[in-house]
Amino acid sequence: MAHNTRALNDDEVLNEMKKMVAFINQEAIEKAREIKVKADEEFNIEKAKLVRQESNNIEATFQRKIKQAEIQKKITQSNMINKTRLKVLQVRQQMLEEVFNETVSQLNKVSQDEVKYRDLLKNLILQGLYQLMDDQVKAIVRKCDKELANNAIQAAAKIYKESTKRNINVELDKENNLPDDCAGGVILTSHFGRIRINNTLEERLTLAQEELLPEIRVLLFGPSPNKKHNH
Amino acid sequence: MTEVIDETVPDVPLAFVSNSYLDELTSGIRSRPIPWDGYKTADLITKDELDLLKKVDKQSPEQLRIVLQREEEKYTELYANLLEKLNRVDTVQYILVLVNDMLSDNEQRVTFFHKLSEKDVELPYRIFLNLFKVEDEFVPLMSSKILTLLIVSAPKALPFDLDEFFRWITLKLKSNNTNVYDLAVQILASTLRIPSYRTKLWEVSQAVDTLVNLLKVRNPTPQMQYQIIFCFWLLTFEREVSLEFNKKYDLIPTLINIAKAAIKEKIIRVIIGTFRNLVEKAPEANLPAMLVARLLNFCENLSSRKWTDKEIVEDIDFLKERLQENFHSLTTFDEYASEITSGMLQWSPPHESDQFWRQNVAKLNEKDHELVRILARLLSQSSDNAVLSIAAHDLGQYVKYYPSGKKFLQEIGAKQRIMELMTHEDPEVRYRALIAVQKYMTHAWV
Repeated sequence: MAHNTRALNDDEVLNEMKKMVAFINQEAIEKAREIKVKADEEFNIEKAKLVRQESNNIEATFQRKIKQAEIQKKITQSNMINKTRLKVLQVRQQMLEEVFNETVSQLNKVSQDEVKYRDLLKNLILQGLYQLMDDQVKAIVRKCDKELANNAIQAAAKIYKESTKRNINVELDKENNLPDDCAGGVILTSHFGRIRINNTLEERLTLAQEELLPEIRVLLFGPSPNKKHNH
Repeated sequence: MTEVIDETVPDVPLAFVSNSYLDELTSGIRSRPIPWDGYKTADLITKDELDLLKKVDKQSPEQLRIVLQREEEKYTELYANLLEKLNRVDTVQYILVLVNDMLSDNEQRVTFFHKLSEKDVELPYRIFLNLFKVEDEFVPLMSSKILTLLIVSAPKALPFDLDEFFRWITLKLKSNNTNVYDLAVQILASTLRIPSYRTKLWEVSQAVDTLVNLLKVRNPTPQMQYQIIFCFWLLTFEREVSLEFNKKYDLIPTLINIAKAAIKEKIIRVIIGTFRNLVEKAPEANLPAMLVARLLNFCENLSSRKWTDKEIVEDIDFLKERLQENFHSLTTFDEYASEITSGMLQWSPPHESDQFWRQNVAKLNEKDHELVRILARLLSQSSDNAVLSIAAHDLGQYVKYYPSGKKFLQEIGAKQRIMELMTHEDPEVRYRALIAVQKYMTHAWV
């Protein structure tokens, strides 16, 4: 506080100015410090937010990738299972074919046992007669079976007449024969050859294969684990 | 926006601790001659150390700058070594001044001190912590100033517990010497820049207590008020602090009073800043107390003033907005009812709001005028003047917005009681009773 009222001399003026400059400086530094503090705080908050966001993103991406990998694994697994299943089926199919092929090749032996073969022929013919239910039937056989066939025809016709009380006339077809490489059996035709019943051994074998396929499967491969009821 | 790096504008200093008292002591010590040659002869210092000292002893600031350039590491080590091995107080004082000059000239040089930790993990802090025990006015003060700069610029976690330091500061805060506690507050203001130190200080129980005491009881100067409230502002950035701040120290009313009386803009600036932090970090704990302390009115008052500072305007608007939101949500009848039934009457928002009374007056008649009866009972039985004033006021509002209630008041003897209170010893109670009677009498001829 000035007690004198004279004007200030140069030194005093300089002093006053220095004081004012110092004061302004002080105020400025204080305000600047406040601004810096606020800025630092905002920075920290923003940084924390960004870090949290990015962490969440990374976490989400990671989860997605895990899921994808799992799905991929499942797909691969499934593919593998399918492949092996197919392979199993293929191999089984092959085996079945082998069995059938073997059977076919054995077919020729059937006609070698005369007694049995004759009986078989008789039954084949009889079955055909029942199916045709015609009174005029022609039978086509192999050339080598002709004699046997005659026997069989007579026997079959006799049984037919007894059981159905109908008359029938069965003749050997003189013009047509089963080919020589056929394993045996008979083809029966009726009425001008309109209806044919193929009872050749080959045909019978094919039918048997189809019918017995389920049982053969079980015999070869065991019962299927998926089936609920067994025949 | 193009970036202009203006080399002439210095950055905000990390630590800002100085006053004329310390400066005077410092220049006194700086000019005192020290017999370095004698020390060399007594084998207290080496030849190399002597040579280095000669180059900086009593040099001008410009000369010092030249000498220190590129030799910072050497001089840092020199000062550190000397401070640890020399004991004479005047020598230690002088070296502290050298260190202070080195760091004041360029704050960045503090990194050289931090490099000392590569040799010994307790350095550089141990040097200065030890000097606190010296029986001298200057040495602990200057050491604490340097230590402050070291801890706010610390590149890694501190190898010592800050509790000790804070306890020492608390001691200084209690000093009767204004210069000493001025420096102590400045140290806190710099230290609290670092968030982790804020929570640390808050947990050192005595420290903040003393600070609050300084503000409330010991009548500080405006500059000191600013410093102390600046510390509070920094502390309230932490949610933990904002939650307990007002509950512990009841500072909201105190700060409002200071703001009302303050002449300097910067005091109001930090007070509003502190309030803003309280609202942002812990609104549920603070908004109600602020409303009770009539902060909303004060903010509207402040809004109408002209400010040179942009931030203060933003902060005031923010506060106003949040206070108004809270006010509207609190002006519910349920809040009012629970307050009345608790008997702890306060000047909470519902009492004063005309809109509240207009909308809700009928509800006071529910359950056989339950709330009115409670108010009347409080009026007759309470000895708390505030409760009497508020109860009288409320009953006045009741009859104002529900004239048919007058008969009821008369029946339960409340009217009689209010008239008695017009001669009560407390002026506020008399005033409220008078106004209530006035409301009672109006409309008498309608």
